[in-house]
Amino acid sequence: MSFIRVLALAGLAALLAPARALASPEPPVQPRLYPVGGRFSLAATVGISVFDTLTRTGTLEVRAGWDFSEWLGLDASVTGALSGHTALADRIGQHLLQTPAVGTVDDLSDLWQLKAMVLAGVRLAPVYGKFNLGADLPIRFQAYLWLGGGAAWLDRTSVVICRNVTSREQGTCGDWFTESRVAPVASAALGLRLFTGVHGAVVLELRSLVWKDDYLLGVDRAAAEAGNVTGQRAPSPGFTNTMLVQLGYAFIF
Amino acid sequence: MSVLGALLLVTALGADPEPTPPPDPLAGSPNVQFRVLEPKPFPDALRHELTLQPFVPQIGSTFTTHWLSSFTYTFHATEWLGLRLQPFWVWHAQRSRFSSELLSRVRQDAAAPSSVMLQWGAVAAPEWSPIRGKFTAFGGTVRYGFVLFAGAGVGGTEIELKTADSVGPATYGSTGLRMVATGGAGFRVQLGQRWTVRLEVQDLIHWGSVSHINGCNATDLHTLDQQRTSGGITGAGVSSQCNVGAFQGTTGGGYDRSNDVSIAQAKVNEGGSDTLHVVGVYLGFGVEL
Amino acid sequence: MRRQAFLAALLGALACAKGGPSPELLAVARAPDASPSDALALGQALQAAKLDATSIGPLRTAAASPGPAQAVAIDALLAAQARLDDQLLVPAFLAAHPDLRPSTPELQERALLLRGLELQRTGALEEAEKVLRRIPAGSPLAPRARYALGIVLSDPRRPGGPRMQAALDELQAVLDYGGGGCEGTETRALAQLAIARLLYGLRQDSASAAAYDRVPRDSRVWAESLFERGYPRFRMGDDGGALGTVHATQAPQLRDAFLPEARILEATVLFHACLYLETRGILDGFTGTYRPLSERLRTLVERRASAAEEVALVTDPAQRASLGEGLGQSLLAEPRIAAGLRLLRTLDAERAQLTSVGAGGAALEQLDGVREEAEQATAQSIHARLAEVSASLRDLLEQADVLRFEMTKGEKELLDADVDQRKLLAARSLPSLPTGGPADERWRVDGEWWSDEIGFQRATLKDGCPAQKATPSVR
Repeated sequence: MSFIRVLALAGLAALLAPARALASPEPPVQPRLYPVGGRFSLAATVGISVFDTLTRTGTLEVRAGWDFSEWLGLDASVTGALSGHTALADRIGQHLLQTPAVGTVDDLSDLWQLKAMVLAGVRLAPVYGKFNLGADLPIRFQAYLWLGGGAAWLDRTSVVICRNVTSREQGTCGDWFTESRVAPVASAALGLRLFTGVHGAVVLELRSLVWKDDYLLGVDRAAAEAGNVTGQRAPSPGFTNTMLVQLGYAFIF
Repeated sequence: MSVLGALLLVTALGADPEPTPPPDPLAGSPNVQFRVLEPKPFPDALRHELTLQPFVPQIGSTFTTHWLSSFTYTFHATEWLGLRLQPFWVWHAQRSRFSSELLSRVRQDAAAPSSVMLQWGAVAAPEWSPIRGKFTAFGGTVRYGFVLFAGAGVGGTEIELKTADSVGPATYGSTGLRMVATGGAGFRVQLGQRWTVRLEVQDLIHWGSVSHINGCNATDLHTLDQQRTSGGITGAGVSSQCNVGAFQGTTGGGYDRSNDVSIAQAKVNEGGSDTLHVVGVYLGFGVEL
Repeated sequence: MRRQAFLAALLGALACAKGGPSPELLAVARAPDASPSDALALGQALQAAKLDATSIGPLRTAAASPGPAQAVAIDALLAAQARLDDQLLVPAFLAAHPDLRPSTPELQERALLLRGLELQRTGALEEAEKVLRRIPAGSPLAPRARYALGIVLSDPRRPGGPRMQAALDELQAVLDYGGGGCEGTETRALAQLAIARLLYGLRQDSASAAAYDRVPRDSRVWAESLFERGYPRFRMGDDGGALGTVHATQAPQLRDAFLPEARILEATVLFHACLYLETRGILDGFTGTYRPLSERLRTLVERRASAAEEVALVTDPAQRASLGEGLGQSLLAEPRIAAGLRLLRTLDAERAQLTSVGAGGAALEQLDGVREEAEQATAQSIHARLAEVSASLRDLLEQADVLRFEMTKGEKELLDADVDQRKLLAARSLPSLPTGGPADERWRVDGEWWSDEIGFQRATLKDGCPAQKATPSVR
């Protein structure tokens, strides 16, 4: 085993050992009505983006998971997404096109849109609790922190680089500059599994997706409108953070 | 050994199986039923709670960024109902990164009514705690309640005039008092008899148009602008609530504040109105008396 | 003495030069114990080498012999007892030598307390009462002494009969003492439990139930109080409260508590409501679990096991597990047995230290003597407790048989009256469960046990008795 692997495993063991030591005193809840340790789960969720500025996204995700213990699990998921520009993004493009195509323009950040994604990550669920929805109707839940990453298929449609202006007066474009790429994505989420029974739970998550941004600077507007997109890649484009609220159901076998 | 195999081995060590209790002969009996009636260790009724939320970042904003601190006094009338009084102070309010980018790259700016920022305020709201529960984490048990509240109050507002540039930092003009509505939800955790922690998401909502800046309406600003171009702002002929002094003198960086008159005039003349939401995550630490 | 000191200094110098065992340890390895003064010197040397348990032997010898060494020896012996928290050997020695007088008031009080506890344990109640009363109310040992005095005053074997009110007064006074660390907290919990029991004996059921509720949840005796509070509730007519609290003793968090009587009380409450099917289920579970244990215990009690074999029953995990059903763990938690096992472990550690310096002679002989005594005393405690449990289980199994007989009678009476109890129960509805107040949290009981909820269970149960022929009260 390589030295890096040994270090990684030692670090993981160090991370788990104090958690295990903390868990060794008599657990306050025995036995859990809805144990998950050693069980496989299959979940489907739908999600919508929140705090949208220039893009909005809707997702459909299928997720498979394995719980090693009551507090640690592993998930892998595949997501398909429908995304597009917000009305604000469209207005920005429209107003820019209504001005004469003179000089250069820098493209805007945070315009990449999610099309598909695969993720894998760790689910840490140290919290198990319950609350009463009504008289004698306790709902049990697990709260967890999800950390992981994967790959995202992204598309980008510019709102400042137009290759074919159809109406200067109305600020409409027939061919906005588009790009596609596959990029690494990091993800973190806070979630709840609200148990409906031993074999199922409603899943509610607030998820963050982060990928590196990428756009052009110094694009000559006139040349672009003639079909020749110039400019250079931004040297430090920063990162795009997309927040999703996901709701779904998990079948626990 | 693969990394995944090692991961499985290491974490299997943490998988302490729970003991299986013997079957309970009364579990399925239709003739006997059990319930837990547990007194709350530390009841809330008729107690006062003081909570400090030292750092509240705004989330999901488009054109502005607010960072604020707030202090909440809650009187718990019953276990379920309370009344909260909440003053807040916005110690950092400025154009958002997106708004700056929009201005610098495509030379577009948000409409004036959409750019108004809160400076300070105070709201009052009844608070309802319909759901109580508890959870276990790291070997301990913690009680919590889910809280909902909605109310209203008042707040002072301002708007950016000169943007930050090489000449100096941004300048701001007051856009007066506005009504502020509020609503939110969150969780309240009790730690012992005295201490509480709250994690809430709260929206401070204010609305309106930009009709006055530093108390000066469109006519006042037109008068001041004419005075400025004629040689100097005297303040003559403007309404009594117009704060002429805000447009006189220079800033610490040497910027002539009379230059703000034309900017203010343009914003007031824009017209329109908007409803603005300052949604923040409020993490507060409290003491119950 | 001078030769001994020179030897110690020489050995000490050698030890420091070589980085070996401490000079005190080396000194005791070869010291004699022929006379009381020698015994005292050996005892003090052992204490200096931090071998307190071994020092008990020579210090007792010195303390038992009149002379200049006696006073110093008794003080050193009490110091060792305090450090070791010995509850077997030194208290027994003090009880056997009532005229020994330590030098300081604090040590005198300690000696009185230890004597008093030993006298109470051995049944010399009159003498125990006199000794315990001599400890002043302001002493730090007063709470423990007054608790023991309360137990003595309430003992039915007390000459002249028990004095319940006086016992209650003493126990109540214990609760007014604060502080005292862990020992103080434990003493107050024991006093609270004793008050609850006394009030139950005086038929003040409501006060008794309230007193049981005040036993701290984190105390060693909380599980016992949880089950025992079912009795006053049942006698008060609060069947739901009695059943709820007794049912809670089945929580997995309490699996190390040995409470077979709880099942009999549970069955009794159900029997009182003529719920014969449920009663039978509880009794079948009880006999299935405890009849084999009772037979195992009878064999263990009747065999003539050596002291080492008795101790191994508790110290060997496999043998302890064979006792099953929480009995092994509850034996380990018994204060006297725990103190004995602690002393034995200390003696074994001290033996390892002495043999590491190649010691023979007086020190090792003393240690072996003390160990043999400690093992005997511990074994006696284990045997006594097993005998007590064995007798108790036999009684409980008989009670189970009586309940079965009464149930059969009741079922026959139903048959004779042509009453179909199943239809009767189906026609009756469960009384509604208590809802509590606004500051009460209500949770359904569904098989998941939360530690903080244990003890707050309440039950509601149907009345399965026909209206005309209600089962005579068993309260």
